[in-house]
Amino acid sequence: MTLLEIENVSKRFDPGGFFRSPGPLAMNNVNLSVEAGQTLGIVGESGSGKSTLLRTVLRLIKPTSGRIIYKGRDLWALRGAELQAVRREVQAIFQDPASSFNPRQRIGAILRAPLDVHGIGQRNERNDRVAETLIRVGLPPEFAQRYPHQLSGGERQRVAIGRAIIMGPSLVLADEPTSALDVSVQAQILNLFRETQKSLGLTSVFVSHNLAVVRYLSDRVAVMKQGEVVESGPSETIFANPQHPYTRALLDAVPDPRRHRSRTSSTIRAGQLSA
Amino acid sequence: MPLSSSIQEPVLDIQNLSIEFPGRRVVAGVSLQVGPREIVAVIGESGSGKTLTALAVLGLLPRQARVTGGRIMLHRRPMLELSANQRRDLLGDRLAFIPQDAMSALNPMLSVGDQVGEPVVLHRSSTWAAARQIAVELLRSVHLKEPEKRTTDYPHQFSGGMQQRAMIAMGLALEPELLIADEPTTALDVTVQAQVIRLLREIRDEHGTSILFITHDLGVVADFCDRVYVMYAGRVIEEGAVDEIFYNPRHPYTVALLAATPSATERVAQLNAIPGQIPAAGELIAGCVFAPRCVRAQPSCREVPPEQEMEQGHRVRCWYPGGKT
Amino acid sequence: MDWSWRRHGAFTIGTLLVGLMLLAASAAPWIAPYSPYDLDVAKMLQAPSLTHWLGTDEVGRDVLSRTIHAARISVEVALVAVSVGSVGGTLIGLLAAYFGGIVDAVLMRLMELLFSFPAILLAVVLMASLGTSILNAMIAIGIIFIPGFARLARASTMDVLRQQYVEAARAIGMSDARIMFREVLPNILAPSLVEAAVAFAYAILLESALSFLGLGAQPPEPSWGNMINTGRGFMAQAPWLGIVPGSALFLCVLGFNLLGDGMRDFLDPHMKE
Repeated sequence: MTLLEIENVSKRFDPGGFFRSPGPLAMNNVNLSVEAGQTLGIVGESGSGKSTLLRTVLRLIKPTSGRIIYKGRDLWALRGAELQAVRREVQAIFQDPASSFNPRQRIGAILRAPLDVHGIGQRNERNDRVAETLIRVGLPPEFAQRYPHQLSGGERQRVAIGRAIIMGPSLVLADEPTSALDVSVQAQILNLFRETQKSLGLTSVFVSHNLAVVRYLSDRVAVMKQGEVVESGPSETIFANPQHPYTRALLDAVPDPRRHRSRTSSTIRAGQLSA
Repeated sequence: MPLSSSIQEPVLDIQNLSIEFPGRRVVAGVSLQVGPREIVAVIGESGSGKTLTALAVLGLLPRQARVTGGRIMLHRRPMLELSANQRRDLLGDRLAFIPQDAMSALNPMLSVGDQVGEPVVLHRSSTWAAARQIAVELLRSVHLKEPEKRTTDYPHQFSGGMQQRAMIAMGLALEPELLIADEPTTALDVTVQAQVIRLLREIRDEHGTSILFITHDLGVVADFCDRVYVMYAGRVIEEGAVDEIFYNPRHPYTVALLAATPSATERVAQLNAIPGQIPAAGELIAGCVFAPRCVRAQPSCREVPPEQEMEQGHRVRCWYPGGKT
Repeated sequence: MDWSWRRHGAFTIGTLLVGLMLLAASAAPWIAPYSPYDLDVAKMLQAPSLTHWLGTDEVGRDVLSRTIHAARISVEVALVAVSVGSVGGTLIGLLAAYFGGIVDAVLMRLMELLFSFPAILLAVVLMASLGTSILNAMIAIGIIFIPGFARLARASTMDVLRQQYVEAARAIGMSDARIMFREVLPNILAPSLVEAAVAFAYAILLESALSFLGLGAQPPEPSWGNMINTGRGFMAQAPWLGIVPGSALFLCVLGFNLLGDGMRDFLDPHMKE
């Protein structure tokens, strides 16, 4: 089943004012679809339009043209109760663990906010749900009493995942969920993200500039460049056999310890022989 | 070929360096050498002390930080004993620094050309007119297109990659003995990052400049450095030639770090995350700093770990190193 | 948190001065040795003595008692004025920044218009049209404060709106009002509170100025402003008539300014444990 379809979506940012010329296209005629239960990774460099795309699905940025279809309904045409229902099913994880939480709210209040907004359950039921969610993302329930600045970057990203899954969503959108983390912590968060997604049967779309992270998490990949999708397809196909020159250039540019190992193992031996 | 520091006199020689903030030690007994024409990487996660070590060489530690032990020699010059004036004379001349964020390191109110040529005016008493000429050549040497036209530009007219090139050009102005680069490519897109790294290697090859490269990115290290120091919680836990570190890592932390790094070029079924967290800066740990997160840790690891030389130049601070023996 | 005199000394002095002032205002009838209204022509213009610590005025009233009672008027006026200014201004700034576009343009042009009037002139004009009374003085001073608070709130709201938690709140479908009051408002209050402390000092100065001009507190009601005005006529014979309320005014303004500076440190959420 196709859960999410992005149809001919374009976005032009209007710089404002009567006499200014229209702004550049941040997204140009983007077409993508995501099957239920799958993970779509969108990869691109700065200015590729990948974050804009994610925000149009979150209804944070209105596309200039095109449609975004979620479960057969046009996301930007929804109103009232129908819209609230969809909002319950579509959740987000943001990039920056430092600014994605209100510094004056405790973790408990932050996690409970979606439940409060949608009026789900009684007060103590909500608190139980908060505790369960904390445990699910690998944090002790006492963390509900803490403030965001008392948590490490990795712990905050766990909370961010918690906030996204507490409503029992079908679609989770993530924007560079690990780019601010150290390698050893990043692996924990990537694994948590994957496990959570599998155990809850979530569909997810996430954007990243890090090709290695995209390869690890995604079933399908879309490569964006200057507002356009230049290549998309099953993750393994794209990484093993990139067709578009830009995808190849990106892959060549990625520094990678593993490739180094395979590439230089022969030269090491040659060097050792001559030494 | 990597140079062993014992063969030739190193350009930079750090012995047993310790740095403290009030009440907490953030760098504990770090020794590190950079040989002539060598590119040496210091790799570590946040709180490893890698940046503070570099700042200590430059004499640019934050005000609360204090060097409490060790010595730093830059070509026989004892850096820690120099007066502020003597050190200022070296900075930008014999010793250049390339920071992480080129945008904020460039003065937005001055043209790029004037900033790139400034070291020549400061250290060689050149005129500004002559410095501008030199700036054009420097910008050309870092492969900036049409350097004559770009020297009068201001930093905001440059892309991130061009700003970093300009910073490198400024660092090269007086052909320094040592270039210290602190995560110079972290803020850049991968394709731009690859260009900047190629440029740095070219500089070493053509000018013979030694480079100390501070980074958290294992991939960058693998692709371009000669020797590597792996730091964790203020200590060097493993050092060796880059091929040794990646082909035959011995310290459990280095092994775990490699296993925790996702790959774009290889299918990785499951990443092995390192359990636990990096210790808070200055947290007092008796014995091996990695023991709380280490899969191989034994009770004896709670004591001070030994430094073992595994092979020529490959040192590990661990009781139970992995890999081949 | 480490306590050091250099960091918190100013804040402590500010708190003490403001505390003294609030104590005088709230407990005036009990701590003042005499009634501020009792005339005793026989005792007029007496120099400070053991019976009248700070002397008596031109109709024999105790200057200390009048100075203490005057704190009351000052605090009342400042409290109302700062409330009007901070609530009104913060709301306007918040709305302007949050909705942007036309709302922003209209509200902020209005604020600039208000801001470009000299404060005292604006107060005098308002008093002239509303009539001279202490309540009108409060409202007039409050309106003067609105643009300052509005600009501050607008700037800090813009900052907060760039934070991802606002985006996160939008993404879960939170209403605009809820985002404004739950996510944004608590994070813009700190600078507004600092501004409020400084505005408090300014309000007390303005009230004194208006009373000095005869537009604020009306005699026989004691106010530092009208006391200074009286003292002006007796500078040579009885300097304490002007010096005492003048010093009270000075210390009070100083206190609120020091308090405002110190509050900046304490209101940082990162210092909460």
